[in-house]
Amino acid sequence: MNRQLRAMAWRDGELDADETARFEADLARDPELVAIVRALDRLDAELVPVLAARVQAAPDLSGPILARVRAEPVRPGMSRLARVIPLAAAGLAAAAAAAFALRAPEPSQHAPIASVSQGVAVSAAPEPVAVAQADDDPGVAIESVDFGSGEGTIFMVSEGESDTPVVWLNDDGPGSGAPL
Amino acid sequence: MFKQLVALIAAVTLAAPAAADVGSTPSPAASGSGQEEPKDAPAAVYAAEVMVLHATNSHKGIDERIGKMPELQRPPFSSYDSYELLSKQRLPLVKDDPKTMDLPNGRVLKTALREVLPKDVVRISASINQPKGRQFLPLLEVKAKVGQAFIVAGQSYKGGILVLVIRVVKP
Repeated sequence: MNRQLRAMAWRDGELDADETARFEADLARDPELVAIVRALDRLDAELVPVLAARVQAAPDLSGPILARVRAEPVRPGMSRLARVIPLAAAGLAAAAAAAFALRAPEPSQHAPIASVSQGVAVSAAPEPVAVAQADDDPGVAIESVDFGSGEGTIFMVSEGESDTPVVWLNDDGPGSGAPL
Repeated sequence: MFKQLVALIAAVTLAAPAAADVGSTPSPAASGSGQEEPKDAPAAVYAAEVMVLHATNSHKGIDERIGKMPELQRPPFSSYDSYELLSKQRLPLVKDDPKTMDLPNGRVLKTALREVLPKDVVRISASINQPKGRQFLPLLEVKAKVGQAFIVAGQSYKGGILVLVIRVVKP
């Protein structure tokens, strides 16, 4: 478990007593870990309310989308998938917003591990990953992404009527100050 | 936070049995760079315009050379108060001829044209490799209309992050 996942688990109270003690000891001496926790606090404060509002405002298109998803053929390459961790997804159709995080366990994997289009929610499943499309002409859409051995998040940033897809890479490199 | 986010997913997420269209992996041999163009290469109809921004909290504001980008004032980009344009480059999109661009953190961005679709829509792929060949972002496939941008952000760089704004344009 990398530092960001540990920080998330710690904030959610999911670490056992020993792990919690170890994490808090690390926290006391690792400024970058403190930065990660603060970044998670900011994400919680800023992104979650936005997504929650979008969920409430989103129309229920689950029926048509599910029908299209089921019509998609299963591709053999997808059987290589082992683990996908969605973080967040919200919004459908024009009021699209989707966010999720993906994690591939083996650095050598090259097959795309997920596919998402604007205005589409992606489910958590060991394999295969769901693919769906709510709009035939979305302007711009992330169709598939392979984070390799790393982790990342996909979400939409809206401004007026336009949505810009964002692929956010979690980079544990030196000097990391990313708000996730 | 996981629980809150997963709860959001539950509101709109579908459990579905179908698989993604995985497409194919990029050409293993990068055949060119953004700077070098063979004389007999087909003319590119489209290009990927890449703006490399450096996001920091250095109280400098948003570089005016970036132009209008309201996304930078939205979460999570608004977590940074300064955005500097480090470079701007156009990578021609020619099928079977990926182009590369060096990033300030030593990694290499590679873009490739996968397919030209009707109505000025293209399917492109992008990847980011480490200096020693290790893949940082092995594959990203995007379908985009001319003029539409997508953003790849989050790479650590000098106390902040890199924000790559990639837009399909006609050269």
